[in-house]
Amino acid sequence: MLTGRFEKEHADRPVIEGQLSMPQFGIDGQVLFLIDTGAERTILMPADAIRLGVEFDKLKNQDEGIGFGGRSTMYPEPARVAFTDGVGLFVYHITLDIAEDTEDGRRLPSVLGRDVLNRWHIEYSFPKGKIEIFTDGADEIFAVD
Amino acid sequence: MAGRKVALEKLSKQGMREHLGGDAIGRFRRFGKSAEFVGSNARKLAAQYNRAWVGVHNGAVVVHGDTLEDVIAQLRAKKIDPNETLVEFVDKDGPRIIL
Repeated sequence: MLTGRFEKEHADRPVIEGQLSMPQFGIDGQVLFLIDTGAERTILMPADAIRLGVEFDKLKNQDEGIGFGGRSTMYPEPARVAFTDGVGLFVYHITLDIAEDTEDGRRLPSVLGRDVLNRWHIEYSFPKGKIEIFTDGADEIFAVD
Repeated sequence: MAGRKVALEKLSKQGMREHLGGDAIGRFRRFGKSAEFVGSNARKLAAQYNRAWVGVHNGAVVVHGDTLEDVIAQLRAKKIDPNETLVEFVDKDGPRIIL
């Protein structure tokens, strides 16, 4: 069982840690994702993208997204995102949206969207302080040492 | 659960290393420690480093600066891997986040 948690000093937002890989760019690093059922796809926001070494001028695919802040440019790229419960490492192959670099965007967390969330059964209880995630398979599963 | 157990037994630990690099779980642990630290101390960090970027590695603030690029450069200079460091802008009077 994977677990997320609520960040008490970040307005109790629900989060989970993941590992993001984009071998085509040599990218491989950890990301704290906001669990966001409102997001159609998983989005890497600019602060995380820059920290992981994404070079925006090398992103050729372009798309458009819309949110409360209006329309924004997204750069979709194939990626793998992995989560662990300490027993297994569950890897999902996704099309990751990399959000364009803006000053405001840099302050927003990366979000885990329905492309991954809809493959999970999630027991979400803020009163109990629990986010328990039951996977039903993954694109790859590895045993943990 | 039985299916999952069988699946895991068939999997190669070497395969994980090849796909995700060595010490993948160690990276989860260190990054998780930093994320939990920030999530539990955001107000304190905002009071101390207001309107600055902070880099938190293995559960402790290791760098801070005025820009994201500056913080990443400081991490590299200290040979701390940005890939497993939580980097965040802290602002005690910042707007609420709505997505």
